[in-house]
Amino acid sequence: MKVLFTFITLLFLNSCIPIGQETERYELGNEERQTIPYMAGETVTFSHSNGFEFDLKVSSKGTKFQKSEIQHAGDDYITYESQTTILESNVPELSIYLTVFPLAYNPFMSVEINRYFFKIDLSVSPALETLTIGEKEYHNVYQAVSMESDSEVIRPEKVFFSKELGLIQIIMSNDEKFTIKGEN
Amino acid sequence: MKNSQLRVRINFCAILLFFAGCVEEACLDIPELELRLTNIKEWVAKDNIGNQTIMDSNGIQQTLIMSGNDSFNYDNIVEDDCGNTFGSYYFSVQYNTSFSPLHLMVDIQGSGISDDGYEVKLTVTKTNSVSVKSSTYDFVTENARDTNAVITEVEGFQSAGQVYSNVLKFTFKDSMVPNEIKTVYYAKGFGIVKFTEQNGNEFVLINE
Repeated sequence: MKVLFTFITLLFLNSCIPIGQETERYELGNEERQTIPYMAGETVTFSHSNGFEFDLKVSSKGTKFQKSEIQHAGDDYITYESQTTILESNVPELSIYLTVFPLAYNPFMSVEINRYFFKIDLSVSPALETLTIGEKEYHNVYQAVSMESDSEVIRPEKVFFSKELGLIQIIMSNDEKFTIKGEN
Repeated sequence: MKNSQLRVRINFCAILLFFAGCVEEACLDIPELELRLTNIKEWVAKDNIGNQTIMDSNGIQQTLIMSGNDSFNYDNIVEDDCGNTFGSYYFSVQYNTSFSPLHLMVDIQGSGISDDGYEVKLTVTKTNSVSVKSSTYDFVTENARDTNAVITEVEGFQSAGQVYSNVLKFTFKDSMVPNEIKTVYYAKGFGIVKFTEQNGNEFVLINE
């Protein structure tokens, strides 16, 4: 009898928890889905500024829906879609997460390189019409600078990205560079 | 079992326990313990060592970030029947690589309590996975206290143009994961000076 009473009480209390409503829903458009030009399973060769070459493999690419954060139970929420592409290499041990959101919801593309974060504003024109690396020219290049302030450690400091080629170059704080192959 | 038999056995056990309690423990060998404590303190990384630059086999550099470098002394941890007391010493240091997902922790301990003894414990964590492994070197037996790694003391170890008088080389068991840490070199007074991955990639200090 006691068990039944406890069960009914819990059921009653549970029914008192308010449930929020979805107020807006943002989905990725076709153009937004093509922001990151990699295909799952593809490999992209990069070279380090001292000549060492290595492959970055696109280990996954997928979309998911998430709910916006709420402060209290029962608050209304927004649902948005995001697309994440993961590139990985063994030597050096790199894990790169590129995530895009619907522009109307969040115009900033997220670039995470081994726990260092960058933001690229896709709602504005690329920072560089032309980027020249060696003898090669790249067009419509976005640039992101690290949000980290610790100048004492060697870390990724700047990233160049284009919708045509994806990651073009990562510049480290000691001026070492990882550049898409053949472009050093 | 009969009641009388049970009583005899209980009495026998009680007598054994009584005599066992009368066995005199050896006195602490204070000079020997002091010598071991002095020796183990020489393994502690010097205070002036901080963040250092490491370079892998492919010439890629990153920072070996040192943190939590601290030591503690405890008095009178153990006391014998001869009126002697002895304390214990504990040192800990942690390392993170600024780019690779790696965390290393070294704990050095010296104690008059025989179970604790004089040891160096290395713990290696790959921060992008759940991989954690550790091994402990016993300075008294000069061997690993476990089977996780083979630990040897190397004299006159050379790395990146620097010679280290004494180095503990931890060689962990083979792993199927290419980026797992295979060997770690800990130099007396300097701390970690080199480590290698299962895939052969080596990381050495370049700014001694």
